[in-house]
Amino acid sequence: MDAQQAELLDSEAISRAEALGLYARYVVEGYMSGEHKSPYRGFAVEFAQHREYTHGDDTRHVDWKVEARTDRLFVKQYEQETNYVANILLDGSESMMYASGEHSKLQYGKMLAAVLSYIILHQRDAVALGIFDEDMKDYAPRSDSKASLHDIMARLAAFDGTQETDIAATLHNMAVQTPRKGIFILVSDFFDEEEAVLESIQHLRFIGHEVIVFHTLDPYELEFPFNGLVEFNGLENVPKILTRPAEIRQTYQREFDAFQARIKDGCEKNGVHYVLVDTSKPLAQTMSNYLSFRMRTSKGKQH
Amino acid sequence: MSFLNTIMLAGLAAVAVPIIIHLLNRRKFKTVTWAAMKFVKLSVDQNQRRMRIEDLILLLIRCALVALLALALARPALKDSSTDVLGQAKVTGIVILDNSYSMDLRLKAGEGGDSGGGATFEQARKAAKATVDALPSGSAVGVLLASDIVRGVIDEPTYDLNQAHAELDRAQVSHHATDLFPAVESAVNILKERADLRKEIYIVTDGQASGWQQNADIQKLIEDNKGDIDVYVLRVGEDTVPGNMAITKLDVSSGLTPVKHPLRIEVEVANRGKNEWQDVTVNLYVDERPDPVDQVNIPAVKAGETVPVPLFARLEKEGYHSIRASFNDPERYDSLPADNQNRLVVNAVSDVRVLVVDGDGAASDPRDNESFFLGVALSPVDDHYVQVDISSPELLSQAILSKYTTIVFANVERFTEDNIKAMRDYLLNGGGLIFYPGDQVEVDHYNEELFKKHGILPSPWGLPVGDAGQDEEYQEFQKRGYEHPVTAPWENPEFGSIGSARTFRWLPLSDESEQPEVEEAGLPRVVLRYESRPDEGEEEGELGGPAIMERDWGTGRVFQFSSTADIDWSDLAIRGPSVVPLLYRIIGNIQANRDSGLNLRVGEPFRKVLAANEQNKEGLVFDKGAVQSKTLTPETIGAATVLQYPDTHRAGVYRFSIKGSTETNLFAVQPDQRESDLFKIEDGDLPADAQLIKWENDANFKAKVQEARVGAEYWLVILLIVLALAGLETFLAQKFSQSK
Repeated sequence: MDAQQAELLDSEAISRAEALGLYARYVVEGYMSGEHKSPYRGFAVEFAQHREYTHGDDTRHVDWKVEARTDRLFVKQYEQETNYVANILLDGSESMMYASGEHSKLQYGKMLAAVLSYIILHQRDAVALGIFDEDMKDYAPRSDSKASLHDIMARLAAFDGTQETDIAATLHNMAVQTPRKGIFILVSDFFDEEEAVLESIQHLRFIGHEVIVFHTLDPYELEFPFNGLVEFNGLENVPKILTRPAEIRQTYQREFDAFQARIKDGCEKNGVHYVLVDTSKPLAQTMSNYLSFRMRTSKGKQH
Repeated sequence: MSFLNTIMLAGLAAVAVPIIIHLLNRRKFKTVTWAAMKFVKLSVDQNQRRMRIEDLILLLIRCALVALLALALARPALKDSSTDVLGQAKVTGIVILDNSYSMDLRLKAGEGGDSGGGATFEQARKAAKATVDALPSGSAVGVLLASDIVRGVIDEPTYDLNQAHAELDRAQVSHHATDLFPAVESAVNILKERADLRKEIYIVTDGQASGWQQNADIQKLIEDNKGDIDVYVLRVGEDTVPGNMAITKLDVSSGLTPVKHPLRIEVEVANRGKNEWQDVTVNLYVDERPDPVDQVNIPAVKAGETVPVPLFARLEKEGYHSIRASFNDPERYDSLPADNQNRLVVNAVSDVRVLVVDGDGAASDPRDNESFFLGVALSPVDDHYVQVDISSPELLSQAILSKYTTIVFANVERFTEDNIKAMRDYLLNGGGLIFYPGDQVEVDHYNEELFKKHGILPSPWGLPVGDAGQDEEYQEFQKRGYEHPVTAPWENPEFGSIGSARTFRWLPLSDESEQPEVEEAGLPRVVLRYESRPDEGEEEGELGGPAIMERDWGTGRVFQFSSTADIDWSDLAIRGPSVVPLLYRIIGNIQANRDSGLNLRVGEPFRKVLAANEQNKEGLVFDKGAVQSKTLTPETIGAATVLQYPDTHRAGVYRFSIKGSTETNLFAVQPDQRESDLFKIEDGDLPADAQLIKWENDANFKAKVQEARVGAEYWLVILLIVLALAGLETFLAQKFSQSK
């Protein structure tokens, strides 16, 4: 692991994550079970064979098509997989390059992806990593080998965003290309066509994927704290704007909050877990907040 | 609308400054590379119109601020504003305080605004101070004391109104007459130099008519400056004309002041009021001794009448004496004390020496000599105080001449260059010459040398007229209208008559001759004229040509007769009652001319010509009235070194001495008699363009003056707008910069 990769693995975040690691898997699973009747149904469960119905079997597993053909009751038997696949999709567009502080959103997203990958692989689950802008720029296919972490790190470290973004196209593609249900973890600022993005998320959900959205934003984007006369030089080929930000701050914040709310509402409406990531906060804090939230919600669901 | 400081209007160009700053500021910005452009654009789109309007409003306010500030500095003013709500414009005022001696008139109790009957001047002082107090803050004021002269106690208007108060407190009544024109003219000239909007002249006066003798000129001056300078007449004192008796003249009758001889003092008593006064007693005092040396009672003096009365004094010692005539009971007549007495200083001498140069002195019968009758007339007895010496023309020299008060040239044929030089020197030292013609006289020589070349004679002599060999055709002297001081006493019939003397032959004199351009020569004056015999049925004949003329030459004086000193051409020489006083008065006039520095009119400077051995001496004048003394330093005036004392503004006797000398001289300053006439100008006759404000024993005088003044300057209100705009700008700038 070279220095560039090491940067991505926030040791504090990892250690905190490991402290919570005992729960991590449980948390993920718990969350799933909270959302669905069984954590194994419709997720990481593949059809294996039929067997005759016996008393006590859940009638929901009766294969009515077979009964129609044979007039006998068969229940479907599934091959249960304990490992699930987490597809981490990192928005690598140019807008993610913005940084008011130490880390750009992309940098932060990379770290987030790295930490998540690490945690997931350590739980012996599989991780696939995709970095995209207008289309998929780099993709590390699914792997549950811890050894693949190195590959993931390398890919993350090597990537540099320069292009405009098209989240929707990428997600639609992924939905098509990933028939096996899994978890999609989307790290992006969502500076894109909101409706198209939400539609594509809906597409993923429709197929049955679990989606977690890390809405990654710079604190300056949230607060818009500029003063004086400022020329905003747009990333992603947007014309320059000269204005006095202080005078439009409220409008900006109102618009931005509305945008954020729209994304959040759109996610929640589709049963997508929405996490707001502030790049000024330590990654460890973001992670622990997220994981503890997951733990809390899963506990809540259990009881 | 006018601007008092137009140069500041150039500041309007500074309006460009906020615009330039605005434009420059738009070029000064931070650049931020930004991702969330969509939201910035959205926000800008929503706010851009508002922000532009706000920018424009702020820019306009800032431009207005600069423009208004420039406007305020230019001091805009509206003269015809009828309100003072916006504050009064600063004024540059000149207070002209009449300090002629009519202002010394005592007011009836209560009139002066104080318990006793204070002087009009005190009321005027209060009015002047109230006027100063009524000036809007920031005003400047000058103070002129006006009589027939102008004393600018503050002739450059000062912003220090306390100084004006102090000067007004110090101001004193002078003994000058009033003529307000020079003061108004000075005030106008001072104010014309000023760039202020509101210029005002306040004439504080008792309204004495004589002060407005040049009313037409004052009126014109005010009219010419109308719109630029406002003039106010602040009238103080009483409206009614009080009675006023005055001693208007005090003079030694003969002009000669020998010791131990009775001196006839001519006194004139004038009634300048509207009522007749009876039983008027005038006392004469010598050297301020308490008891009068003479007294005269006048049974009645009618209103407007002037009565001449003779009084007699006898001086026992040589030297300077002060003589004072005053009413026995001055309080009885009037309340203007200044003219109830008059003073005179005389220099008493033991003898008066006259040299007669006889051009025809060789006659066998002394009575045929030209000098015979002169000698008899001037010095009738051996020990007479007038000593007459007879000489011939050949013996003349400056050394001899200087011993005499007067030199008489009687029928002298002609003069040598040395003679003329001696005459010139003699005249330059204050001597007196008398020229008589005769059959010896070379008229052309006289006319060429003494008239044309040296300007010594007052007139050329004309060709002889008349025949001395007959007694039918003759001329007499004038019997009325005596204007010259020498002959003035004959205006009083009691003094006798001079008119009956007959002149059979004469060399005509002319008062219309072209005058030679000689620096030392003064203007010629007629002393006595001939008068033709009246026609049948007429009482008076017509006044004819001059019989005697005189002129000043250097510091001396020259008299010129048109007929002889003896009885060859005229019988004047044997008419004792005429010729004796005439000669005495001529010699007295020469003597008085020599002493003319002793009796001055107020304001006339006292001058003492220093002798050759006194050139560097300082003098000392003590003014008894003001109880102060002043050192005089020698000045050079023309060829002479003189000590000069100009501050003779108060009537009275002054003492003068040359430092280091034990001798003390006196001189008297006499009040201007014109001022005794207390008649007032009618309000309606005051200049129409001047506003009249009357002192009516009220404490509201200040308010009255303020009311009379209208108009305002607007810089203050503009400055307030500027301040309000500055506040608005700050508020709006803050408000606009708040995020929206």
